[in-house]
Amino acid sequence: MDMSNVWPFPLSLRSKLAAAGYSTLASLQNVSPSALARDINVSREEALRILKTLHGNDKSSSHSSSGSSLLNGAKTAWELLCHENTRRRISTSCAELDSLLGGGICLQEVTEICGAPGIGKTQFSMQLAINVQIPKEADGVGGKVVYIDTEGSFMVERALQMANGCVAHLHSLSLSSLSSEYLDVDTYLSNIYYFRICNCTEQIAVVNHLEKFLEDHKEVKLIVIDSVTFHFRHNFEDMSSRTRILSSMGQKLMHISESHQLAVVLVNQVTTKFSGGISKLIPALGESWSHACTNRLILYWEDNQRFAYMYKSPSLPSVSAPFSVTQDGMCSVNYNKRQRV
Amino acid sequence: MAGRLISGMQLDAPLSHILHARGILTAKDVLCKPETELMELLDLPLSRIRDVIFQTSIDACPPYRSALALKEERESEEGFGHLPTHLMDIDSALLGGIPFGAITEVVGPAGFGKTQLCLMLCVNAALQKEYGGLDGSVIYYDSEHKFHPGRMAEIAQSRFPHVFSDLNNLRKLATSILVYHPHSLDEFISSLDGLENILIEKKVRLLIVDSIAALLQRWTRKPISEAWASSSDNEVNVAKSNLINVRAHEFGCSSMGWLTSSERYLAEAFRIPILVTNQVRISSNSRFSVSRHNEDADTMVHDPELQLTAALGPSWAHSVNIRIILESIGGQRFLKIAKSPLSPVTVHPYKVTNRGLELIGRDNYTCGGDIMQIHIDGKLLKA
Repeated sequence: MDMSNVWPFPLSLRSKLAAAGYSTLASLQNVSPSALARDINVSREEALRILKTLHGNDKSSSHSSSGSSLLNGAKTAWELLCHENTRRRISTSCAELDSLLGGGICLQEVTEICGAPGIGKTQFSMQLAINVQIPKEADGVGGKVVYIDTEGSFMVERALQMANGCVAHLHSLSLSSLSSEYLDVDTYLSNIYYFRICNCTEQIAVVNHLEKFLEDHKEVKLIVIDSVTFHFRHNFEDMSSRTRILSSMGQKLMHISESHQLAVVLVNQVTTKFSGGISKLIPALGESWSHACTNRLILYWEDNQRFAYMYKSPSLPSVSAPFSVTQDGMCSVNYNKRQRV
Repeated sequence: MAGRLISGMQLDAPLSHILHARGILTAKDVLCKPETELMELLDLPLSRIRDVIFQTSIDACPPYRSALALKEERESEEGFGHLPTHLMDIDSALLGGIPFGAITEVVGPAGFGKTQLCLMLCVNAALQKEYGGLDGSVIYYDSEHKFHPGRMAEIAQSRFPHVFSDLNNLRKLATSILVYHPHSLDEFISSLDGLENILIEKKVRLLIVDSIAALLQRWTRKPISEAWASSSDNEVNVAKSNLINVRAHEFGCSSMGWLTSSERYLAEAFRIPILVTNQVRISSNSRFSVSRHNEDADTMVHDPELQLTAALGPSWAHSVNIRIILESIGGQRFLKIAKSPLSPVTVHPYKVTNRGLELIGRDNYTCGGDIMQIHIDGKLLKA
C-alpha cells in the first residue's frame, strides 16, 4: 500500500523516494543509510535522518535500536580515564614494588605472578591478602579476600605474622578515625575466605561458583589463586582440552574482576625450556595462557636479592624492582627492621 | 569431590537420566569439558547446559573457612601443628618445627646426614608428650636400606638420656616405628593403598620416605646421567606397564602428579608431616660434564664449582612445601632452608655427632647466588 503521502517529509524528498522505489515502510526496513543516500542522491546524514524519523514511528523495528545499543554498551575514553584515576590499588608494602605496579595491584585487572620455587610468590599473595583489608582511612581498599589454595602452601602462622606487622604499621600511623577492629589481628584473619582445592575439577568448580559467592559477599575486593598451575600441570593428558579449559577460566576471571571491581591475582609456576642446549625457566601453562592476564610479574633472584620484573603490562614500563621478605611480611630493601634475606 | 556422582546432586530427573545415559557420571565429567562439547553430547540448549554446570559447580566446590577458623584449629592441635626438630634455630625459623599437612623435603649429596635427620625426627615423633614429642607411630619407607635401629637407639639415648636409659621406653620407641622396604616403585604405590587404615589404627604422626629419588631411579631404564640431564615434566618417565602409570591413567594425570597428590592428600587429611629425602643431580647448565661410570682418569674433572641441584626437576620443587638443603662450603657443612612459606632463606652450620645433627654457632650466615644450587666442595668424583 502506498503510504508515502503521509510521511512527514517535503514533497521534493517524497518524490525522490518514490522515484527510487521506496513507497512503503517495508521497503525501507533493511536498507542501510549509505545505500539510501546513493539511491535518492542525498547526503548520508540526511538518509540517516530519514530512516530514524520513519522508524521512530514504528516501535517494533529493530534497525535503529541495534545502533544505539552499541553506543550504550561503549564508554568514551574520557569516561574511562576519569574512572582510572579513581581506581584504587592494593599496596604491596614495598615502595619500589608499588611504583613498579603504578601504585599497587590494580582493581579490575588480572595480575599474574610467576617465579621459581621459593622466590616468594606465596608471600606476595599472603601480603596482598592482608593489605587489601587496610581501611580507607589509611589509604587502603578496605575489602575482604577470597584465597583459593591449590598447593597447601597457605600457612596460618605466617598470615598471623603478617597481620601483626600490618597492625603495627597502622598503630604507627596513629589515625584517630580508625576503629579498633582494624587493630586486632583476628579481624584480618576472619576476613580471609579460604578454599582448599585438591584437584582440577574443584578448581573449575570454585571459579564457576565465584559469581554466586560474590553476590553474597559484596565486600570481597581481591581473589587470589595460589597457584593456578598446580593441578593443571600434571593432571591433563589432552593438552588441547587443557588449553580450552584454562582459557575459559581466564575469561571468567577477567569478567569477574571487571564486573565486581576487584583484583584477581594468579600465581603461576615455572617450567624448564630447552633451547640450543641451554635450559631456562619460563612461566608454565604455555603461550596461550599468557594472554589470560592483564599484567604479568616475574620474580627472580639476582646475587643475593629478590627482584620483580614487570614482564607484561598495557601501560607500565618493563623494569625491575628489588624487594625483601622479612618476618613482618614484604618490604623494601632498605628497611631497617631485622633484615634477613 | 571430583568423583562426586551426578546422581547425588539435586538435578531434576529427566536431566539426570540424560546425563547418565551419555556417560556423564561424575562432577569431573561435567566440569572438565568445554560447554560446546557438552552441548553436542547432551543435545540440550546452552542455557540448560549452563544450569547443569552451575549446579555441579556449587556441589563440587569445597566449603570455605575463614583463616581465623584455621588458626583456632591449629591452636587446638598437638604441638600447635608442628613437629619440633629440637634444633633451636631451625624450630624458630619454621615457627615450631616441621609443619603438619605439608611435604618437607631434605636434599643433599650422599653422606651429608639426610638419614640422620630422619632418625632424629622419628625419635621426636614417637617420644611421649611430656618430653615434647607427639606420642605416636612413625611409618618409615626405607628404599635404600639405610635405617639402622642401633643408630636410632644411640640418637635417642644421647638426646634424651633420662627417658631412654630405661630400656622399656626404648622398646616402646622401637615398636612404634614401622619400617617398610619397598623394592620397586610398584610396591611403594600398592602400599599406599592400605595406608589410610594403618594411619588411623596406629595413630601415625609422621611419614618418612627415604629416599623418593631412589624409588624413582630404579623405575627409569635410562642411564642415570642421561635421565636426569634430560628431565622435564614429561620426561621423568616411565616404562609403560608400571602400576603407577595405571593409577595415573585412572585419574587422567601424569605419574608424578598422581604421586604428589596422593602424598599431599595423606598429609592434609590426617594432619601429619611428611618428610621426603631427595638426591642431587648435576645441573644441566653445568659446563663440565662428568661421566660417573667412566674409569678413565683423564675424564675425571676437578671442578671447584660443580653445579649440583636437587633431582626430580622444577615441577617436583614446586610440589614440596619446604625444602631443606644440606651442603658443604669450604669444608663446613650447612643446613639451608631454601624454600619455606614460613621463613626467609637461612643457613645454619651443622655437624653430625652421636646425637644426630647438631647446629654449631649462632652467627647469621647469608648465601649468595642461586638458592637452589647445592654446593659440594671440589672433590674428585669417582665412578
